Order: sequence, then structure tokens, then C-alpha cells
Amino acid sequence: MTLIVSMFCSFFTALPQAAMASGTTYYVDSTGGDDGNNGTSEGSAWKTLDKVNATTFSPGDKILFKAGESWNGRLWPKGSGEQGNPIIIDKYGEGSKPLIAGVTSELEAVFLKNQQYWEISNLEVSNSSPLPFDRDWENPRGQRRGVYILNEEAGLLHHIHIKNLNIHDVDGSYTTRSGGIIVDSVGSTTPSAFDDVLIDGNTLTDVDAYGIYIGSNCILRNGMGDLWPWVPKPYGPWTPSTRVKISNNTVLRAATGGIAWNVTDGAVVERNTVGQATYLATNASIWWAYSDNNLVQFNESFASVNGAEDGHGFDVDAGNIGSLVQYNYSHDNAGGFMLFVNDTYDTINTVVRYNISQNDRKSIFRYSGSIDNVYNYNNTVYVGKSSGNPVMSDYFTKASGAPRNIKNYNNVYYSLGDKGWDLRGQTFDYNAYYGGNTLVQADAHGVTGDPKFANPGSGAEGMNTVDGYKLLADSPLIGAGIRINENGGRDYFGNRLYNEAPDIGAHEYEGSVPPAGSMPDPIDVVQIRPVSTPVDDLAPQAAASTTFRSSSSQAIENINDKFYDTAWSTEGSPSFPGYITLDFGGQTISANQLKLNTRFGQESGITDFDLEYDNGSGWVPIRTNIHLSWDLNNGANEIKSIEFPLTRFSKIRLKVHGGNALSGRTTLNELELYNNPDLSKDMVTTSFPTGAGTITNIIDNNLNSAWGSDVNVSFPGYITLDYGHDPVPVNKVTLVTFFGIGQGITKFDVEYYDGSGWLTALPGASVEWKLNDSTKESQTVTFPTVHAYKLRLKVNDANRVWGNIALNELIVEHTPEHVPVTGISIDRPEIVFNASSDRSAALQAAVSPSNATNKKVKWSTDDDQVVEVDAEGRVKVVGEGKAVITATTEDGNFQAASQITVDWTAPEIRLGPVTTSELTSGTFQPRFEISDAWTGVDNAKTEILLDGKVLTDVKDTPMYELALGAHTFTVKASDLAGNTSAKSVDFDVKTSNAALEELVQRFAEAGWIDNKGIANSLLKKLQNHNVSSFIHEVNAQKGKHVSADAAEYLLRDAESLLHE
Amino acid sequence: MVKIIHHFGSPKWLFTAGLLVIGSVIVIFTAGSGFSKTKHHAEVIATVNGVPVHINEFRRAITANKAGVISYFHEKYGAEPSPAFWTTSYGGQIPLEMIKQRALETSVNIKIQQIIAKEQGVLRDIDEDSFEQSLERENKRRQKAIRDHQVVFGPASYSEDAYFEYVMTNAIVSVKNHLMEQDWKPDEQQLKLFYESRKSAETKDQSFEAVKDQVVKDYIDYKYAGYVRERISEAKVVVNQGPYDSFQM
Repeated sequence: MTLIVSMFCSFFTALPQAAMASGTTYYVDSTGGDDGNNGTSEGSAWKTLDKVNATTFSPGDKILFKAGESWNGRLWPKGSGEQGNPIIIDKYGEGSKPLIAGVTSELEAVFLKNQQYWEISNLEVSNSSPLPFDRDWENPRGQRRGVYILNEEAGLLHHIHIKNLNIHDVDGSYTTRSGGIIVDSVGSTTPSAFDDVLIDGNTLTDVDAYGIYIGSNCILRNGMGDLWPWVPKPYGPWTPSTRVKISNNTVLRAATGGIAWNVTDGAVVERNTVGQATYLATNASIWWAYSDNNLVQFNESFASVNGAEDGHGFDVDAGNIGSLVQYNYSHDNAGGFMLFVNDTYDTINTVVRYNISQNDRKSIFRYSGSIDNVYNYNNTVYVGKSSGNPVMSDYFTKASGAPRNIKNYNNVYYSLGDKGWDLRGQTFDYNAYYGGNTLVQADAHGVTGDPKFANPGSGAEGMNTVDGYKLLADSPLIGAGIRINENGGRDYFGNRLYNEAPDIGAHEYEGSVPPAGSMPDPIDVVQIRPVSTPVDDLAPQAAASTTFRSSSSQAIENINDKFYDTAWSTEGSPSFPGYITLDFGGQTISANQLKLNTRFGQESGITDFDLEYDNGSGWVPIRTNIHLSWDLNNGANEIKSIEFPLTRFSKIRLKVHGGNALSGRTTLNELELYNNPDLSKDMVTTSFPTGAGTITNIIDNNLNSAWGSDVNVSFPGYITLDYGHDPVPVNKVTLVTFFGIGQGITKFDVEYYDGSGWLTALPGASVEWKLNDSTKESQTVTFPTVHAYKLRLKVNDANRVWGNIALNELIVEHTPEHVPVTGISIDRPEIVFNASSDRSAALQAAVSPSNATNKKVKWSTDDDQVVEVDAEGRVKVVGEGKAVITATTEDGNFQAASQITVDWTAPEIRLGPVTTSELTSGTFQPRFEISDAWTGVDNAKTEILLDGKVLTDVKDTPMYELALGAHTFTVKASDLAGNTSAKSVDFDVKTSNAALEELVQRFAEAGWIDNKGIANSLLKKLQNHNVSSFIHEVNAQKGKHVSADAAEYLLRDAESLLHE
Repeated sequence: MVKIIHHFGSPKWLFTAGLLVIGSVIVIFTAGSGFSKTKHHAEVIATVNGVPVHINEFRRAITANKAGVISYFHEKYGAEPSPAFWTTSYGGQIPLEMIKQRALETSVNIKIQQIIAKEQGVLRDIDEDSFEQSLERENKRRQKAIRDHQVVFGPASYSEDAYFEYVMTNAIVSVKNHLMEQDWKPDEQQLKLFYESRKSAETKDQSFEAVKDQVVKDYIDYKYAGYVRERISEAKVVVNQGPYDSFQM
């Protein structure tokens, strides 16, 4: 009988025993208690942790440990409370806090797993290990914790309050899941987080690695990539813990960070004291990441130990959207006051206001990576001698991006020695600068001169002597600031804002001040919205363009503007095919994945396209006949992914054949481009055994990730890239390695597979590494172009100081061979512009050889008052004169010239009097002058005409040789420019009695009338006006004593007189 | 990274700072002469260069070392808590003796650092009464400030242990700053030698210039630790045997 009963009892006691009734108080006394007791009174207390751990407690239960007592082991009571009725752990009796001393066989001293509605108060907790701390996260100590609250795939858990514990000597390892109080969510399958976590009034000293850490593996949003190796994979979607408050804690000598939190929304961290954090390894004292709407206030963060990396009092870290850091006191920190650092998606909307920093060291403000939209205002920064000459700010651009839009207002910087600012990304207005190199010249309203603090530098010798930073009545900082809207309503000391015009610095002077008068408009603190696209999306680096007609309100730029809510749309119904192109300009990138995001895809999404890239000589297809079918039409994001073999290019385009044009239009919200190393996994292989990293690290476009071999390698070995069924042209290979002198590849052949076999592209290549530090050093070899289906390095030797070889990146490229220019000619070596020419001309330059790589030509004129020439060789005539237009090749500076002449002015002709008289007795003198400005007379073209007939013989002629009557003498001239002019003069040839008489006399003298008597007879007849008789006699004598010619002349004139 | 050798039990920070010196302090036990008549005999458990260590200070040191001693005996001998734990002999070692010895070392170490702080003008008073008054004042001030919506950093109310740690930490920071500005300014040569002697695999790729700020800081920490060790080794410690022997947990 008895046997059966005892067996029955033992069966039951083996299972966690349900507590007897809800709302029961249990007492535990390690020296006076007994596990056989019922535990419900001080006199009948339980004894051991095992007893407590074997019990499942109910809502409203209390578990009280006796003051002054201690237990070795792990406390892990089971069960959960409920809303309004938590389970409480506390102490009873007078004396020191009950001690839970952890043991090396358990990682935690106090543990809850997938439990909720618990409050733990008034315990002392330790968890030592004999092993030393180091930076290896897999340190054999293990990830030890003081108090570990774990949510493992349990969804949302509520109400964990941890208060007034004294936690010390927790010897964990270098991870974020190890330290004094660790609240941890793991949600690989079920997104998991906590709501209502209060960590208040605890003292944590000598804790490794962290003092207080709120962590989670539900971090995926905005393209978040890999986190630390100890965070369990796969990661869950971003699931924040809410109503997290960390307050009134004192954390001293945390090995790494003092207080840190990840993946929260609305966390409040206030009134904590964190001193001597980063005690054993670099970190930051108070920091947060992947968290939204953070409030960090009234904390004192001081004397961090390790400033080699970070080490700041406060650190707004990666992926934070919205942080307010106010009314904190930071001093004597090894790394600096305020760190803004981000390696992932943007950290945005950070406000740092009304804080005091005294004697922080190294870098007071540090900006690193993609940080956007920061307001630092009304902070008082004191840099004393013990700051050790820090920089006021430094600045780092990282793969995630560059810090930008950092606005500084109303701050006072007081320095006894500093190295000044890196001003990139920052603007300064209405700040005060005193001493050191703090002055920012560009500050339009800067105040210099002694700020008149009550007692600067006097803090840190007592906790409330920051009163030294209050302003004296005659401080130039009073009223010298600018109003900021939504300023929180109070200054550092609790004074209301503002007392008339705002003051600079953390103190708003309370005494009487002059009235504000008219003030500049207040500053609005604006929020920016986070971008939609992951940080490793390459598309935003390109310029987008399209051959489709775009809607005027939805431009093509919207497809790579990083925001999903802005879309591109065609205008009306597009005609296909059309192109959407991304041009990366001078950059070459590698990619293997395209993503299209279309909201309302069923209505207007792109459905059919080819993907092409520009290989330098033309467009080459990467993938053809890609078809997308869209499922949604409700405004939600729908993202389609297209994978393709890893391709290097500067330009890529979609040749779009069709879309769902249900309303006529085609739209696209975002086009994204990635180099996704997972997709290229099969592309690269190696015959070397791997020691560290993976071989895909050498083609992931990330110089920081490296592959290292095992320490035991033999040569030759191979590293092979497989390009699939489309060969690529290659003529250049670059190896990137750090610590090259220690582990870089030195001798290798470059081989390629041409479709049927392996050939050598470059035999016996050899590189010499120059560096042996963390610099990513590049070494390049080139060779004649080959077309490779596969490419491999046959590695024959390497530096192996530590046994292994390593490679950060293998870059395979084809740069088109450069064909140099050998000469240039112009199609028209000279141009003459005359009055009738066009006022412009087009010159063509021919660069040889015709396949020269750079055929760019620069045009110039040496006299732009004569001709202008544009970049395409189009000549515009300006004015008369001569000029030389030169075409010069960009490559080689070869030149060709065209001589330009501009002459609009025809020759000037002056005709002299061409006759001595009108009478036949006169002389015809064809006198003329031709002159020409600019090009000069073209004498060959000069024509002398008499009565329209060209005079071949231009000489003085007796008038009697000309017919009687009207004549016209003409001179026509040309200049060498081809301008022509003509001038004429009319004259008459007449006769008279007197003229005739003179002719007779002249002929007689000339011997044409060879008889004096006849001559006289003729003269007499003329004097008597006896013309007909004259005529008779001339006729009679013609050929005898009057020459025939003479007779003709005389008879002609005489008959003319007769007929008058 | 310098490997930290961790001794089981005693407050770790004293070890990592290289401060704790075991056994080389000259300790004189006396039955009672040489103590100020103005103080209660039983309240002073020892003097360090004539400066008293109050029993409360000693108790704080006991509390600080308690978890370490308990873990030590648990790990080594499987000892469990019991009324007789402290006075039981485990393999020849008695927990009460060990904890008193460790607490004494802790107390001497702290008192030496307080003496240095007073010499440097950083702390005005270093006796227990002043500390307790200061704690009370500070907590009153905090409560009032919070009621008046004024600025208060850190907790609304400090526990004795937390407040003590906080005051000491801040005081040591100030002492180092003072010494750095005056006596201990290192020149480039000293810094470089110090840096070379400390270089390890993790820092091999960093140039001196890049880490100079941290080297200066490490140098000061190192010098301070050495200075405290030196002062401890020269200290005259007189233990008041009565209260020490009769001290119970």
C-alpha cells in the first residue's frame, strides 16, 4: 500500500508542479528552508533554486528570496502572469539583496524563456567565469548573462519589468546577446518582440560584454543585409519591441557598450548613468540601431575607456528613423561626444539639443556613412586641456553613403585646443565660437568672444556642477540665437524657452534681458521620409531616360529616385518597342539582378521586354523575351525580379515590347539593379580549400569582403569564373587584396575557355604587392582581348606568410583597345566670303585613322571679329578680314587649319577724264584707277570697254579715229575675293570747222598731206566755210597728195558738217 | 589585445586596472593602540597611512567580494549555502577568512586612491561619515529637483553602492586629468615606446598616428595604475585586530 502511494507521489513530483492557487506568495531561504516545505510562509520556506525552477507559477504569484542569503545556479521559474496580474520575484526580510550566483555550467543566472507578465526586483546577480575576455565572440566563456529574457518564436510577449537589481561580474563574451541584462527576440519563423519592457533602477558593474542590451533578429526592412555572426539566421521581418523604457540605471565598467537597444519603436532611455563603458573593447557607451522614435534624455555618459574605434558617449547608429537626444551630460569619453554612424539603410531625422559635453576626447562629433537630416542645436561643448586636442568633427563616406544635411544652430563651442572641423555635410548658423579652431567662417551669424560662462570646465568634480555652464548676465550668447520651432519647451536646466530672444547654448538665461524686437523667422525642424529602396540598389547611381513619351507629371526620373510612391508613366498609349535606359556615365558596374516595382501592375505594368547592355561597340542582349505577369492592382508594391548572368556595363536598357495597357498607359514605380552575390554563387569556384570567407566574396562588388584559403595549399591551383553560354570579351584582370605582402597571389597564368578547350590568355603573369596592412591594394594585368566562356587564374605562387592566400576581389574587364589619332585634315583649307556669299559655312574635319578611339576635335578661330566657329565646325561670318580656323584633335593635338577671308567690298574704280576735248581733234585717253581693300584687284579680270567692246590695246587714241557720236567708256574690275564693280563714262565725238582746220594742219605736219599748197587750199576753203568745195578737193587728192586715211577722216567730218 | 588574467572572486576592475597587489602590502595588526580616541574604536577596522577605514567601508568591500567568494567555493568544492558556510573549512580554506582578506585588500586599494584624490584636490573629504552625508544630501537634492522639474542626471535616488562607485569613478577620472595636465605629460618618445610595447595582433595594421589619441589615454591609465600600485606597496596599513577578528557575515 505504502509502496504504491510513494510511487504515485514520485511520479507527480518529477514534473513541474502547478502552483497550488493563483496569487500565492512563496518564500525561499537557502539556509533555513527545505524543499519539502509548502513554501507559503517564512517559517515553511523552500530552500533551493531547483524547487523554484520545477514550479509553474500562476498570475499574481510572488516568489520571495530571503535577504542576506545566496544561491548558486540558475533561477528559471516557469509560467506566466497575465495583464494586471504579473508574477513577482522580490526579496523579503532585512539585509542585503538575495544573491543568485551563476555557475559556469549555465549561461544565465536568471532566465525566462517565452514567458510574460513577470517583474523581477531586488536581487543581487553575478555570473563569473575563470576564462579571460577577448574579442572572439566564440570565446569559450560562452554568451553568459546576468538576467536573460528570451523570446524564441513566441510572437508578441508582454510586460517584463526588471528593477533595482545589483548585477555585477557577469563574464560573457563579445556579443550583443551577452551581458548584465539581455532582452532578446528570435523570430526566424514567427516574428517576435516584446511590449512593455521596463528596466529601472538597476546597478550593473563589471559586465561583459554589455550592461543592458535589447536585441532581436527580426531586423529585415529597407534591404537590411547581414548583421553579426551570432545573430540567429534566417532573420525575421522588422518587428519592433514597443513601450521599452530603460531608466535610472547605473552601468559602470561594461566591457563594450553600456546600454544599447535594437529594433524598437518609441524606446525611452532616461536618467541612466553610464561610466567607463568600452572597458575592455571598443564600442559606444549608449547606442541604438534599427529603431524608430527614440528618446534619449537626462543621461550622464562619461569616461568611456576605449576610443580607438567609436568610444563616444552617445551613438545614433545604423537604420534609426527618428531620434531625440536631449538634456544629457557627456564628459571625458575616450572617443567623443556624439557619434552618427550607419553602414546600412539611412539613419534619418536625428535631433541633438540642449546637451552639455565637457572634455570629451578624440572626435567630439563624428559622422560616418549614410546619415541624413540632423539638427544639432543649443548644445554647450567644452573642450578642455584633458580633451587632448580632439577634432571638433570628422567625416567618413562609406558604401552606405555619405553624411549630409547636418544643421547646427545655437551651439556654443568653447575650446582650449582642438583640430577644427571637417565641414563636409554641415551648415552652421547662429553658433558661438571661442578658442581653438572652432570658428566656422561660413556662419553668417556667428558669435565670437568669451561666452561668459559662470565656471567653464568645472563639471565632473561633482554631479551638479554643470551649473558652471550657465551664462553670466553679460554673456554675448544671450539673445544671439535663432528660434527653433518645437524646441521641447525647456533648456538643459529646466528653464522655459524662450526668455525674449533665444540664447545660444544649453542655458536659457533666466534674468532680465532686453526685449526681443523683430527676430528672424524661426527654424522649422523638418522630417524627411525614409527611402524605399535598399542601400545596395545600384540603379540610383545612373541617369534614367526613355524613348517613350513620358507624362509631364510622372517623369522617367521617378523610376530610380528611391521612393516607391513616385511612379513613371507614359503619356497616353505608347507605341512599342520603346527603350528605358540606365546610363551610369563614367562608372562601370556589375549586376545580375533587375527588379521592377509596379503598383497597379495588372492595369499598366510592363509585360514583355528584352534586357540589353552596351558593351562599348553596341547593344548586346543579356536576356530576351522576358515576360512578366502582374497579380495585383490595389496600389500595394508588387516587385518582380529578373536574374541574369553577372554582367559588367556602363549602360543597360529594357527594350520594352508590351505592357498591360488597360487604360492606355504603361507605368513603373521603381527599377532596381543589384549585384546579388547569392546569385553568382555558382559562377565562381576554386580548387583551393577555403579557410575563411567564401569564394563568392571575390565577385560581390565589395572590396571589404575577402576570401582566404586554408593554410595548407599547394600549387598550381585554380580560381575559375563561368560566364555561361554567352562569351565575354576580356583583356584586363585586377586582383584586390589586403595584407598583400602577407597573403597575396604573386605568380599566375590567365587562361580562358573558348568553347572547345582551355587556352592561355596571359602566361607567366607576376605581381608584386607593396602593402601589408588593411588597405585594399589593386594589381592589374592586361593582355590581348580574348572571348571567354570561362576564365581562370592558374595560380602558381603566392605570398604565404601565414600559410594561406587571400583575395578580396577579382575584377575582370574589357577595355576597348585604344587606337591613337595620327592626323587630321579639314575639307576646305580656305574659304573666301565675298559680298554675295552666304554668311556661314560648315567645315568638316577628318580624323585619321577612321577607327581612332577618341575622335574628338576642338574648333577655334584666331579672330572672332572676322569669323566665329562653333564646336561642330560651323563657321559664322562676322566681319571683314582674314582669320584662321583651326581644328585640333583631343588625342594627340594634331591640327588642321582653314584660311578664311571675308571681303565684302568690291574694287573702287576712278575714271579720269577720258578725252581732252569733245572734238575729233582731241585725244581719247583711257585713264582709270582701280583700287581694292582686303583682297586686292584681280588684274586678270580687269576689262576696259569702249562702247561695249573690250579694248585690247589701251592707249591714247586720236579722237578722229573714233566714230562721231556718243561713246561709252567702261572699266570693269574684280577683286581677288570675286567682288566685281564697273564704272562708265560717256563722251561725245564731235566735229567742227575749227576741228577740221586743225586736222588739216596736223595731217600736213605729219606728211599725210604732202603738198603745202594743197593744204593751204584746203584750209582756205574751211575758213570760208566752203565745206562742199573742201570735200571735192579732198576727194580729188585722195591717194595723191592726201593719204587715203587722212582723206577718210577729213571727208567724214566734213560731210557731217555739211549735214548739219 | 592584451590578455586579461582574471583572478576568481575579487572585484574584477581592480585586477584589470592592474591595481590589486596580493600579499605585498605590509599589514600590522594591533590590539588597539594608535587609534584616535575621538572615534569609536569598533567603527575603525584599519588605518592606511593613518587614514581610517570605517567599518561601513569594510562592509561595502565585503559585499563587493561576497559573490566571488561564494562562487569560488561552489566551483572548487561544491560548497552550498548553509548557516555554517562561512565558518566551514573547505580543503583548508575558510570562506570568512578569504572574504575578510579580500575585503581588506579592496579597502586599502580604495583608500589609497581616495588619498591620492584628496592630494590632487579632487575630493575634499574621504571619510565614511562625509560619504554618507553626501549620499543623503545628493538623494534629497535629486528628489527635490525632480519635484521642481529641474535637471537631474542619472537615477532619482542612488543606492549606497551605486553612489559610491559613481563618486569614485568620477574622482579617478578627474585625478587622471589633473595628473595628465601637470606631472605626467608624455613626450612623443615615451608614447611611442609605450605603444610599441603594447602592440598586438589586433593593432598590427594601425599606424601610430592613427591611434595616438588612444595611446595617450592608455598611457595615462597605465601610469595611474602603476602609481597606485606603488603607493599601496609603500603604504603603512594597521589593522584593528579586535573588530577585524570578530567581524561576522
